Amino acid sequence: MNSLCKKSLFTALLSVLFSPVLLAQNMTFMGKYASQNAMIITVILAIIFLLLVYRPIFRRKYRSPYIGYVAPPLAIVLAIYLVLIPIYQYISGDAPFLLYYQQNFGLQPWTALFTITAFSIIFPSLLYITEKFLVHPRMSFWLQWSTKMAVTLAWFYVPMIIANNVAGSGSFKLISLFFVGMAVAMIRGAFLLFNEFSDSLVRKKDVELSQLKALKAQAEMGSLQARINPHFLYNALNSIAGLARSNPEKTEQMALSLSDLFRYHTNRTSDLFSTVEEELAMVQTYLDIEQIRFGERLQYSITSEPSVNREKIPRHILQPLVENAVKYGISSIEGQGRIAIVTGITAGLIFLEVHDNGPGFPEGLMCGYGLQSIHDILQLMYGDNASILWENHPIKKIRVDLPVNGTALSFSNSINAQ
Amino acid sequence: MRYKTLIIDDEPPARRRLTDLLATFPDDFEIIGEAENGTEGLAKIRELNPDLIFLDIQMPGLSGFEMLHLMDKAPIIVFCTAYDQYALQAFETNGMDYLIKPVRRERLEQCIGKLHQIQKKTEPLQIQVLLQKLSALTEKKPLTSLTIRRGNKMLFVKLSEVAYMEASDKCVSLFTDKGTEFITDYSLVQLEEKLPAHFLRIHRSTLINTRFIAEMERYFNGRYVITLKDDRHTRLTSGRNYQGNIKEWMDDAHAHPGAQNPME
Repeated sequence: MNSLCKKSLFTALLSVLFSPVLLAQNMTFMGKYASQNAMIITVILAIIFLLLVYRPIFRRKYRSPYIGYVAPPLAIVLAIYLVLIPIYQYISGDAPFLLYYQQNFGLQPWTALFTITAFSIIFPSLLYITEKFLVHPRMSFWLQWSTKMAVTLAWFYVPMIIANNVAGSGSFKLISLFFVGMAVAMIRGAFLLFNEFSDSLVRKKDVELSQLKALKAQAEMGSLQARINPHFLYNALNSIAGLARSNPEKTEQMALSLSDLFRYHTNRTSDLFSTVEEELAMVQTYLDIEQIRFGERLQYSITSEPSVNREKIPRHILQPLVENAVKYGISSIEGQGRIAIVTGITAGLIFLEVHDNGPGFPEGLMCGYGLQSIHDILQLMYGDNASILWENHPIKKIRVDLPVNGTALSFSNSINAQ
Repeated sequence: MRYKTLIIDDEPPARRRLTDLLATFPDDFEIIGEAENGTEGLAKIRELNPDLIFLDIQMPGLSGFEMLHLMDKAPIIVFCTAYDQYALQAFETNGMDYLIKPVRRERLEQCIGKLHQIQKKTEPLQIQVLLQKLSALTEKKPLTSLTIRRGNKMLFVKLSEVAYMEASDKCVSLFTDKGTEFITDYSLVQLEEKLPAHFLRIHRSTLINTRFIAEMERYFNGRYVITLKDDRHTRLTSGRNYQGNIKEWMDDAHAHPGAQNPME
């Protein structure tokens, strides 16, 4: 429905704009034969015709901007000269129109057609080249618009005046070309206005959409980041209940660790990032709790280069990896389970590694490892600059590489700005 | 009756909790041993022949369920787990019981009351049936993305964005709706096995995401030309041998029209 409205609106506008072109043609080449009926029929036909050639003329984006300059005028000119004017002449009983060029300019019919076509290619090309230098995307729309109008008129009238002066007045039907120039400028101006109008609508929608996306991403990350596995919580509380009578120290430590972990998870005031140091401290708290649960079966080590401690990384990017190591690694073997966490910087990338001695990652297809969400967060924040990799040999490990602070700032700013 | 009781749980504090709780009912329970995983549990059951076991479900090596599969004769079982009670309610009506961690004293009292009503030991056959029921109840997480190793990083391809897959010599190419190609080492057979049901084999070397089907035209020899609604409007021709496959899918889609194109 919307596109239909747009179509009719475009067509109405364009047919109004075409009238002066026809009028100009009328006045110079076929003034005395002009018939009002023929004019009306031609305008109606023009409307139908425009509905048919709607796509090439109103296509918003061409692959190269140059084609965007040349294609629409060429389509319009060919439409006028090959379709509309012959129809008009046929209806009004006129002689073939190209003869007029012969009569008025001394041009053979096909040479005339060739000249017109060449003109409708050369003229926009000149505009393209000139505007490439004069018009910058940073200029306001109205400045761009007036510049473009000025360039259009200049390229139309300046050569004309020069030619007139060189060849002497009278060789050109100046007055008709003057009208054609005005018409061309008007059509172009209207086109630009209309494009800007529809562009601004699209832009508005785009902005809304990207805001929604950012909010959604934020919500998703929030939910992901605030998530503590309920089974983990129940198991931990069960351990507290089990230890309460026999081992008050461990019970106390467990309750404190659990509250630290929760505070870190539910802290919504700070941004989406935290330092490697904080992340490691939280992972250690988490592993302390698991160690009380599993007793001697779980051993862990954390190794971190001092240089990486202050670097910022997305919150809770590390803990799911360690949770996986516990859940799919340690919980699956009967003997001693070992987890090692190694972080550092190599070649400008922060790396976070989690090793364990459980059964290897399944080859290929993965699901349920929570890795998709980590991948999504990395993708959102760093694009292709971050990566996840896992391997089973020589040691089973999963590794996340992400850029040193800075790359992700635009993302956090855009979210904070809202 | 005083039950000879065995506790099987991999977490020391959890075993401690149960031992302490059971000790407050000396008339009902006599704790004869503990085991810290399924393998050990199985050995102790054979060795000690308990009347009753408290069994954790998530354990290393053999899980609680796996352990039951290996038993020919079972004592009365009370499951102990931190997992949701939803699936576990199946046990209540089948001469068994379950406790949710953290275990409460009141709930244990209820459990004792119930134990007194259970006259005979559970038949292993009954357990097998129950386990099957349970595995049907526990939903498997559907596969939502494929991981592809590309050099030293992993790519995640969301299945909802894969329009079709095509096998060539040694590898399979995934094509997304945007026309991006990903090359994998998996074979089509491997993929077909693991992919959700909305992926349909239409040719010896082609697998399509039925959610991307825009239209299907009959072709000669029982084949179809299928147009996808990806960005390129890909047209694929089905193989003659896969006519049955496609018909089956169409009948399904017809029977559940809502399920055919959830993307729209």
